[in-house]
Amino acid sequence: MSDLAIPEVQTIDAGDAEEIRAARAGDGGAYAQLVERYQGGIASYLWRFSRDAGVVDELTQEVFVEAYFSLHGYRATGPFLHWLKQIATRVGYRFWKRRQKDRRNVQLGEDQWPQMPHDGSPPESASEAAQLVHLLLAKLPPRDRLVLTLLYLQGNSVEEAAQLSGWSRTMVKVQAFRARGKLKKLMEGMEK
Amino acid sequence: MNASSRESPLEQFERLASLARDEAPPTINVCDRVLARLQERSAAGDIRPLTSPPDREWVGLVIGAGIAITAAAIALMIGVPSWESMNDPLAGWFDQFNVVMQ
Repeated sequence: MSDLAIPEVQTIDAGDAEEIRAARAGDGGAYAQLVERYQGGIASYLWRFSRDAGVVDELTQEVFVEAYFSLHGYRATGPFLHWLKQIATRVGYRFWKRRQKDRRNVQLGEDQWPQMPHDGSPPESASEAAQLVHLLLAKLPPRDRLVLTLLYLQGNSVEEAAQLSGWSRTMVKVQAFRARGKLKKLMEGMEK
Repeated sequence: MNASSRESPLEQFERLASLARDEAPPTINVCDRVLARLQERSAAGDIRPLTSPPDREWVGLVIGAGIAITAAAIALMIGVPSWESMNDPLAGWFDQFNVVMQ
C-alpha cells in the first residue's frame, strides 16, 4: 500500500477520503475544500478554549496548518472532524500553557462574581454563563482546565475526553477528580 | 457572593457550563490564510509544494505529450533510414548454398 492510500473504513466520508488523498499529494485545492468544510466545527470547538474571536481565528489557522503536516499520519479510524478536534485540543492546550502567566493575573472581580446564579434562577444568557465559566476555569492550571472543559463545557463522556486529550480513561478520571476538588475550593473561597 | 443554600458549587458550575454550551461561536473564514501559510512553508521548502488541480493536470498533460512526440520523432528519424537501407540478412547465407548447389 502506498503512503497515499487510505484504509477503507466506514467512518470516513467518501468525499473526505478523496480530498485527503489529493491533499497528501500536494493538491492545495483539495485541502482548501477540507478547510472550508471543517473550519466552522473547529472554530466552534476552540470557542470553548478562548472567547476571544481573534484568538479563535488564529488557533483555527494553527490547527489546519498542523493538520496538513500530520495528514500522512491520518489513519481514518474515525471521522476526519474528530481527528481535527484532537489536534485542536493540543493547540488549545498549548495556548493555555503560553497564557499561564496571564491566567495568574486574571482576577474575578466582585462585579463579576455576584452574577453567579446562586439562587437557583437561570442566568440570563448563555453568553453570561460562558463568561463566568471561562473566568473560573482560567484560575486553574491548564491540565485541570482541559479536563473540565472537555467534560463539562464540551459535554464529552470520559471515553471521548480520553480520545481527544490522548490520555487514558483512568487518567481522565483522576485528573477530573483533582480538578473538581480545586474548582470546589476555588468557588467556596470566593463565596466567603 | 452569597452562599448558595440549594446547590453545591460544583452543581452551580455544571449548570453554568451546560448553559454556556449553547453560546454560538463567531463565524470565521481562515481558508485563504491557511493556504497562504502553507504556501509560505512550501516556498521555504518545509513541505511538498502545493498546487491547484487544474494547473497540475495541464502541466502533466503537456509534459506527457511532449515526451511522447519527442520519442516518436526520434524513433522515426532512426527507424525510417534503417528500414530503407536494410537488406535481407539471410541473402548472404543463401548465396553460399547456391554456390554449393551449382
